[in-house]
Amino acid sequence: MQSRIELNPEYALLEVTLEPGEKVVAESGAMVGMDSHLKLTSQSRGGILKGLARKMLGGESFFQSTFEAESAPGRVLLAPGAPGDIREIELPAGRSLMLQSSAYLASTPDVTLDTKWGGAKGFFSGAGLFLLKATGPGRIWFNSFGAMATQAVAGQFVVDTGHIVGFEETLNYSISKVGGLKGLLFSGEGLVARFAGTGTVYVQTRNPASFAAFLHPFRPVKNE
Amino acid sequence: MEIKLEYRPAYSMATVNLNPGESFRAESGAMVGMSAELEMETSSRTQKGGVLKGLARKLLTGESFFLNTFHARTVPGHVMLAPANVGDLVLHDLNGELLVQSTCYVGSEPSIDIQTKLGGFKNFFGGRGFFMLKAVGKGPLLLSAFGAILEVDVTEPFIIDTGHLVAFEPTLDFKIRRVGSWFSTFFSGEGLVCHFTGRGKLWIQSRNPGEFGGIVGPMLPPR
Repeated sequence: MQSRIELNPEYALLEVTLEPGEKVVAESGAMVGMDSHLKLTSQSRGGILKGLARKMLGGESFFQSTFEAESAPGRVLLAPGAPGDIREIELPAGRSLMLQSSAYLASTPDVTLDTKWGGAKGFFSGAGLFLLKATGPGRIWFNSFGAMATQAVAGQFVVDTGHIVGFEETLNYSISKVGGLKGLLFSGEGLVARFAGTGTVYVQTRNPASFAAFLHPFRPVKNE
Repeated sequence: MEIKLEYRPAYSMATVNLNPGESFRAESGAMVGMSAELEMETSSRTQKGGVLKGLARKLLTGESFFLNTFHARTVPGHVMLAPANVGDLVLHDLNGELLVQSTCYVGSEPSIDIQTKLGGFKNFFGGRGFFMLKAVGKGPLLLSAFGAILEVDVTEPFIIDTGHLVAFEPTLDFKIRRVGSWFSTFFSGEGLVCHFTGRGKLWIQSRNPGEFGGIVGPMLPPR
């Protein structure tokens, strides 16, 4: 399997070339184009109920798509929904990456995905932070809104929840509120995650909630 | 203090490295992440005006009314700052005064005084969110643009659309004007402009947030 990330950081596109017998799994909706001889199947990973739980709790699509090269090699082009970058990492067996739910793009079939409940913390604090836990072995591709910066943490580091892409499971986090009266209109603004431990946090340079807040005044006004 | 700009121009982010005793002030939504050792202090924009005045500004201009100040006390640390919109950042080495369109302010050295300049009636005719801040002092001033940023050296009268204005030097004088008839003001979208005279630099953004909002907004459900 070969992979290539092009057109980054603004409008990154992932091209995966599969050899016969190889598969790649992607977020449903991520497919931009593919060779017509690839086999495409949609399924709810981990069964319907688990998939439904993911949908309800993780905000991520219920279905995922699997692309398989049967007798001939072929390529598939994958893109996230938002403008921004894509990153690839190799997860060793048993190692996990926590991803903000809309940051998941694709993975190799042996990577398992679980909804980690945002560690209940994210959910109940209104942070709008829903996390998926991706566990190796295998490769995973994830995406950001804007560019993606890598922040090594040794000790403590604070990140606005709207700027979190993902982080290594070796880090612990707690959610707290900062910055005055923000967040009245859009959940997630003004809340930060305080990371502790040693590991890497991936941050995105733009915040979807801030973008939504910018667009809000331009919405039509309801006629009463 | 050392400020590094990365991911320009589309998804620019500034990393401000502070040594012990140094501080940096930023618009309240700009913080992406920071060293946990930094202390963050929240205040309304003008110390005199307080929250109510801040709130009035918020309602009138759409601008946020809190500023956060990041202090490095005993150990160094860094804070990452980014604007809400897609676009570039520019680091201006302020020495004196600069007039800044309010949505373009990202942050500044804390001794720089940020004054809200209501500017009277004429500015409200300048269109959505058109509101100027006056930055006075010496030190780094961080500004954002929707799209790319372009520096223009004005030596003879120059006109720009209000939605494209980022900042200008106080040696320039400006008036808000209509171009064309009242009819074209209401129907063409090109109606209101800033008419600059004098000599000095001004900075413009290559996209107009109001135009972009006008394209996407009507596709959203009513509020």
